[in-house]
Amino acid sequence: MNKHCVITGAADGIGRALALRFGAAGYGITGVDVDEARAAQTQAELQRAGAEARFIIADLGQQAGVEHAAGELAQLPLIDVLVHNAGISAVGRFGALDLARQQAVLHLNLGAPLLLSAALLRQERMGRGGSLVFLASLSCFTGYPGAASYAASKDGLAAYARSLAAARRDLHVLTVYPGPTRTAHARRYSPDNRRESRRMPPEQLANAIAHAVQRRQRLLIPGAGNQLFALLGHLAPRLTEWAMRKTVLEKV
Amino acid sequence: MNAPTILISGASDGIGLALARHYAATGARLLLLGRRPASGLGESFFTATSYCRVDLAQPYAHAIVKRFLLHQGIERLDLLIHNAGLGYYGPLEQQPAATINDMLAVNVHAPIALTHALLPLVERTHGSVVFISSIAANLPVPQYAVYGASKAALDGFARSLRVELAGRARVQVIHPGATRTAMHARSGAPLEKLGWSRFPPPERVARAIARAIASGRDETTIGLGNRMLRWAGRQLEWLGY
Ligand SMILES: NC(=O)c1ccc[n+]([C@@H]2O[C@H](COP(=O)([O-])OP(=O)(O)OC[C@H]3O[C@@H](n4cnc5c(N)ncnc54)[C@H](OP(=O)(O)O)[C@@H]3O)[C@@H](O)[C@H]2O)c1
Repeated sequence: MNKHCVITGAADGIGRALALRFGAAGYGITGVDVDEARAAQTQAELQRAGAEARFIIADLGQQAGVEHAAGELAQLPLIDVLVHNAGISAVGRFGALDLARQQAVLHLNLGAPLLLSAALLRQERMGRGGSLVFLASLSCFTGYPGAASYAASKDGLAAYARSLAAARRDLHVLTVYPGPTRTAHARRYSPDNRRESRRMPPEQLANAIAHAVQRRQRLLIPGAGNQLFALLGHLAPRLTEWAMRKTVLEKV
Repeated sequence: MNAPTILISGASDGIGLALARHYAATGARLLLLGRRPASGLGESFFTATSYCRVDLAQPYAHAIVKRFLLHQGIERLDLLIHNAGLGYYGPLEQQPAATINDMLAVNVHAPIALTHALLPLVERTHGSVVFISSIAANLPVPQYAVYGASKAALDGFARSLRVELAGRARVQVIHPGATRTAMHARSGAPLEKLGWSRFPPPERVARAIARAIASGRDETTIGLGNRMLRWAGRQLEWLGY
């Protein structure tokens, strides 16, 4: 039987690249996404590439959506790889940025993976030694002035992954800290897209994640430049905060 | 000089109550948030003009607090202390969705929403927004996974907000370690196993917090042992543990 890989936010961007990558590696793919039209496209694309693929349509930013997804997943084979990838952002000065939008960021990026993980673990839906993958952000190391609620959601997510890894030594937990990635998401939320070509292509990121899952790595900072920036953030946080202030905050 | 105006959330018990006592003794104008009825609060500084009863797990709590301040004619805040919080002890797969939601609502959403609503009042005094986090934010805490995540989220929020507000208001984060309050019993933690009776009392922790706030430092971990623990936790994090 095929191994089963579940990816949230799989219809587009990094999630889609992950679906194609794991699909090519022989996994059966279950995507979870709110965008029905894009999900259908990606599903067809996966099937054309020879992968077994299905989508659950659910808005994970809502409690009911998480419950729906967990309920559907309970009917499917045990999960070998679960990737918490769905995420949105909101960029702007905290005080000027609509509170409801910032709360939506926290619900989807932080609330949903916590609720979904708890629900799936409670129902024992993870296969033996399965992998849980959490997409945090390089901002965990560098700070993210201009996206304070987004930074909050990703710091919280990484901390959760860390405790989960300590709690469930029978499972594999990988935390990924991607830097700028060349997706529609980045284009939408970045104040400046002139240097888009410097962002990592999602296929490259997906490839790095697939390798890290295979090697059962605990931490992945994809890309040498990102690794350097993360190290700088760890050793000299003021410096990276200043850099983020220049590149993000002062342009929003 | 006028007495400072200080808002404390979670002032009805534990560390928040000890902080309220501390600042009451200095003659500050206090605004105190809690969920329990005022009738259950003994101290004389809990009055109709100081105590705002509000459930911070509700989505519109920040609007209720803002209206309360408006009614009291409060237009400036020197200190906005986000202290209300709750814990949960146990395997993460056993934590019910409702308590995950409550914890995120009170520990993360409420301080962010309150800051959003009240920031102009703090900026008017070039005051300080203070977050009571926990050393659990920087440690793997298998029995407190969601709690640790909620505090780490708060830290991440504060870190980025601090850069945004530079020159207009301070953002301070305090990391207390285990403190002898009723939070642990409410979290369902095994008190004896944890050595609860040996934890420092909230009065002592509150004094240390007040000193840390007065120092103006961005981040303070309370107590030497906790400082070492948190430092170790941060190095381990970098290694993926
Ligand atoms: N105790 C520790 O070991 C420790 C260690 C590190 C950090 N901290 C942090 O320090 C802060 C205070 O903790 P504590 O030990 O003093 O806790 P505590 O004794 O349990 O007091 C918690 C306070 O928060 C309020 N609160 C809780 N849920 C609320 C809600 N839904 N709406 C409004 N208010 C609510 C409570 O109000 P009511 O009682 O009126 O409901 C109470 O005043 C928390 O943020 C905690 O995470 C504690």
